[in-house]
Amino acid sequence: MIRVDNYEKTYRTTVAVRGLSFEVASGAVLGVVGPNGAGKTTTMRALAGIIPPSSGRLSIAGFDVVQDPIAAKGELAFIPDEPQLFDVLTVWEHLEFTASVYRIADYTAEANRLLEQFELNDKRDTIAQELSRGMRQKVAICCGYLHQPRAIIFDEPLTGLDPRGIRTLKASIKERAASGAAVMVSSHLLDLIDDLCSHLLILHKGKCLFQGTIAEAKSHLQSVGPDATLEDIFFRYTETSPTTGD
Amino acid sequence: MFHPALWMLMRLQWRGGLRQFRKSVMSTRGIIHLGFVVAMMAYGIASMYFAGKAISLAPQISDSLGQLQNDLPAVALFLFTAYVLLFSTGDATVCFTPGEIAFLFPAPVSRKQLLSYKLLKSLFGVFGFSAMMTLFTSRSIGMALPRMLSIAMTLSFLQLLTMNVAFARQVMQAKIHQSIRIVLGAVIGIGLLLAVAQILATTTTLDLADYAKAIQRSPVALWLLWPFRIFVQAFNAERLLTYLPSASIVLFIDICLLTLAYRLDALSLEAALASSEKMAARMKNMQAKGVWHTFASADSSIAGRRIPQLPFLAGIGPVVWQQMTTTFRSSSKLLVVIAGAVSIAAWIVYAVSHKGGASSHMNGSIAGVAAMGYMSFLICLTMQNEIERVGFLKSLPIATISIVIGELLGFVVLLSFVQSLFFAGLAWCFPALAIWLLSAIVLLLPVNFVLFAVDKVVFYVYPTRLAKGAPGDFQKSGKQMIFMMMKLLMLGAAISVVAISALPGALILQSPLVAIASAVIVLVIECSVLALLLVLAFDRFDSGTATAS
Repeated sequence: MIRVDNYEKTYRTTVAVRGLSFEVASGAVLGVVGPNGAGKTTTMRALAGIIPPSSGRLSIAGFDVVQDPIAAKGELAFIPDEPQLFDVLTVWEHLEFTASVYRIADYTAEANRLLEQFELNDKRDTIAQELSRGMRQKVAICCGYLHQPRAIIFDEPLTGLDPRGIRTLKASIKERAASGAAVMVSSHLLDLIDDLCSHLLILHKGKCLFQGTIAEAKSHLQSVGPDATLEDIFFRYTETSPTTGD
Repeated sequence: MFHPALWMLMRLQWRGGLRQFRKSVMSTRGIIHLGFVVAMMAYGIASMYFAGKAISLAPQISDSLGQLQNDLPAVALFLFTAYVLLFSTGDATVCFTPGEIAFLFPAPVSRKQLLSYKLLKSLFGVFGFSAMMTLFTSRSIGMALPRMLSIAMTLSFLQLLTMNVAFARQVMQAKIHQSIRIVLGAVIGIGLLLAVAQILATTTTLDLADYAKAIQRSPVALWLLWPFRIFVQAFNAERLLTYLPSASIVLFIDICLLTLAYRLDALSLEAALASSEKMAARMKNMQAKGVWHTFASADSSIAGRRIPQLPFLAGIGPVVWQQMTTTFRSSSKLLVVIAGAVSIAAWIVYAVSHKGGASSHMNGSIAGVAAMGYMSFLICLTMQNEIERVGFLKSLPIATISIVIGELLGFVVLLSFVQSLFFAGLAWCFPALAIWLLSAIVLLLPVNFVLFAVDKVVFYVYPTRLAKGAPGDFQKSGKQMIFMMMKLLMLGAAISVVAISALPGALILQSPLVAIASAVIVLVIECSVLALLLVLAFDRFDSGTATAS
């Protein structure tokens, strides 16, 4: 569903991402982890069609992000780390606009269901300027879910959410994956990745250090032992050998 | 084809703006703020109208202004175009709001549709601004609409030109782009040098009207300004017959630039994202720290700009050092503005005093003093007081009086020093008035202190932070106007008391010493009272009561 082949991104002399290839199948949840500056957001923005790759091929649901951006974007939801809304628009108007931009004819029932799920029902007529950060995040997620995307990309999704909001979001991600969406989640919260993701991608200085299932990550690293946490694995990979991880 | 969702977005944003407006006028405070905005606008329009009437009654001034009205806009347009072609990155024309980036960039909307959205949205802004400008400057009701259209077309020209420069930068190789800029720079530079040489050779005074005549006499200046005179002709036309040909040419130029923008097809989302993030960071800097921090450099090279550590002086020294180091590192434009203001003041003094006559030196000195006073006022008002900084200052183990004085002292001393040099220069130029001018230097420090202290007291009592204005939210501007009036009234009262105290010495005794001594005594009392007020206000300062403005 989400496919990246030999993706590279360079800024003048700086290489942000080099030779990255991975795939997120339908129903899988890929956790993307890495220290600051690893290339996580650059990769996600490239998949969202916001920044072009320097080389390589990126596709969403079979549509090339560079060659056929409109079709690719139509299948994707990208929820950035900072929830940026239109200040004077109400919550409902954000959904109304999203429905229009993704050309969803009958969206009312789904929009109401999402507002109910994310406990935003009583805020539907509140303008974005008056919402807390967590609520803005929830609105961004509702807008992302509205067109039933086949690929969903979350960049640091939990920032600002309250415990109930975190539980709801986790449940919704699992629900979306179960219904066939390919989900990518970047986070520094390794517990979240451990809890939520079926697959793991460790990036460091623009290079892929590991990709596979979390169980595979543990079996790769014999030195950390069977009870190793994802945190142990992360530090083992990022602070030792950059290529093999062990 | 324009994406229907983009129409919807514009419609929703307009509706949101109206909703904000309705909400604003629902409260008494909102009505007061609206009243202030309306009153200030009415004042602006009325003063322009009556100034126009008064000028038309004085034929000599009217002729000079008529000449300037034709030349100055053309010169301004030429300079802007040269700046855009040679130095501009065009960032402002391709930047989007954070909401637009989050919703439109990853959405199935094509690049051309985004460009159309951007252009259409700015066109609404252009028309709004043009209507306002027409209201302020129109001389006949019959030509109001053509004038508004001309202003709108001129503003669109500037915007489209900048946008095309930004796009050209994206599609061209960096080396080719740079080479084109060098060639253009050489052509414009040589033309400008020749024109300036011809103008200077034919002017004997520093009057703007004389410059206007000299421009007319310079073939190179006429050649450089020729394309821009068409724009000026369009918005200065007083009959449809003279308006239509020039307006048609302007429209044609705009259409050509618009076509070029679509042909270049270079609205790269990556470049737009970078521009938008840069602009958002600038806005954030400006809202938090003031106008002078808008173009603050983000790299560590500024760390080289150091000022030496100051003595402790009961805690005043470190506060002044920290503030002035920050100013030198991130607000270096402020220093450029001070230098520019001094040059303009010197030019005003020369222009006023060179005419000869018994009172020309006196008039020149008064103009210089007034220009310096205005400079202090302008710099003081554009300093954004930072709410978060008060929290930091409160946490310091330093007495409140040292903190509040330290907060003012850096700028007060800097401006007073610059102004002292200027006054000394004036005294050297006008020896007959030297005793008055040199004595006035004594007043600079307390006068500047009063100015900055009044601003700070108002801020500590009514802490405001600059916030992004939502459409229809006039409360922001209304509130700013009320605070400005409050500061002006306080300053007016303070300066009036000082002036009254100095009058007997100046007019009856004709003694600069007595006049200045009386003024100094009153100023010292005022400074002491203000320092006390600052301490009280700082101690009870609560950032929780901060309001957006």
